[in-house]
Amino acid sequence: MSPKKRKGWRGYAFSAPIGGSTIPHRVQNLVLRTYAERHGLLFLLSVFEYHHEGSTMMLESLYETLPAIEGIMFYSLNMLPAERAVRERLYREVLGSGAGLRFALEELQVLEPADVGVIEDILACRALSAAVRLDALEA
Amino acid sequence: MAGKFIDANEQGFIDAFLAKGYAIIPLDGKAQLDAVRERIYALGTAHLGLKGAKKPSLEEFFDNTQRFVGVEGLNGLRLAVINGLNADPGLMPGFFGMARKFIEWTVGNEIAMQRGINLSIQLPGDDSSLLPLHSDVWDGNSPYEVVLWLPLVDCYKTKSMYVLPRPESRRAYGEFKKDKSFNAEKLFQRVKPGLVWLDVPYGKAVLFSHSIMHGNRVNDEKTTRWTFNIRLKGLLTPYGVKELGESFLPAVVRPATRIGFEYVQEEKA
Ligand SMILES: [Fe+2]
Repeated sequence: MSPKKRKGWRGYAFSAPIGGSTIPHRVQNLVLRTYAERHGLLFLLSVFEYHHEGSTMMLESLYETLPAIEGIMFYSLNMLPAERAVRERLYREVLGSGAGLRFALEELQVLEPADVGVIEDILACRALSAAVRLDALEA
Repeated sequence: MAGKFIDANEQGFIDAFLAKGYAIIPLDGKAQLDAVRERIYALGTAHLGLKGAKKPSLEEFFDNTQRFVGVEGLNGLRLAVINGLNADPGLMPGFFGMARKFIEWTVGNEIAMQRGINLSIQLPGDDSSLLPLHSDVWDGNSPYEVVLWLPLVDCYKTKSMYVLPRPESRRAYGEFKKDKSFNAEKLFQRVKPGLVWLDVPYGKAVLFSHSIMHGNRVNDEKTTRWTFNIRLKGLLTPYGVKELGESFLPAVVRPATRIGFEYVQEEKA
């Protein structure tokens, strides 16, 4: 399908906590909308992931829509599936159908295979550095 | 024991940084720094519509910026320059390269770097962009971070920044925490005798732990101050309010670290 026929970026938001805190839908949509405006992107109404922890059902249901849209716009990087194999499938599905991923809060994107490394480095380093708490030595 | 692993030159730098909490360092790659200055000159004069006979020399533009823009136009100028500079993907790696040895001596060799550049412009006599005495850790930044403060002009006396060296900083913070009546001005008056105004000519920079107290006052010199500041930290040290992925990006990840986390993830799968 030619890129011309693709239309818009599908918002992807969470009802479950993100990085430990629950973010109101309204706030997530606000961040997504502002990001889209600033980058001149067409924002398609957000899909909300099912509430139970670790669910990727709604995300996976978007895969078949990929040829018709420019990509999926996550509220945050922290919503990426925890399991590496599931993330790899996501990257494969998205890039394989010529679409992209965007992360509004962090202003990051995966538009080509080379972008995946940066995202994976960030996730791994976040996990490793979080293992040492900032106040680990506080009396 | 550490002395056996690290040569005398590096150890001397480490000891001095630990003792004072800051260092003034020479920058590598003068031509690259000159090129950044040229680029700012081009972006700045274009933004202000200074062309033809009205276009000042580069020297004149940086030293006497107050002749071309007022306090009200300063933020617009700043943003135009920042946006222009940030469009260049080689900018941050360039700054990193200029100070790499000292950054590695200070924070280690796996490094996270701030994503975009911060620029501050302080016109002579302008009291609208002052930075009162503070430590960045007080508002939630990680104490593991350092700041590379890099001037585009010669900075001295009130045209520069000041720091309170680490021992005095720790002592004053101890008192400040105990006494609820302290405010910024009172604290400033208390520590004033110990403040060090950094003399930083163009071509050098300051690397400092933002846990030590620092700030600036009204620029009472005749020329404008132009400075960059860039945050850096050990990649795997704890983050504060400025998170990896949002404010910081990995700059250097070593292969053993990557092999390690890939191995662990594969093990879990
Ligand atoms: Fe600061």
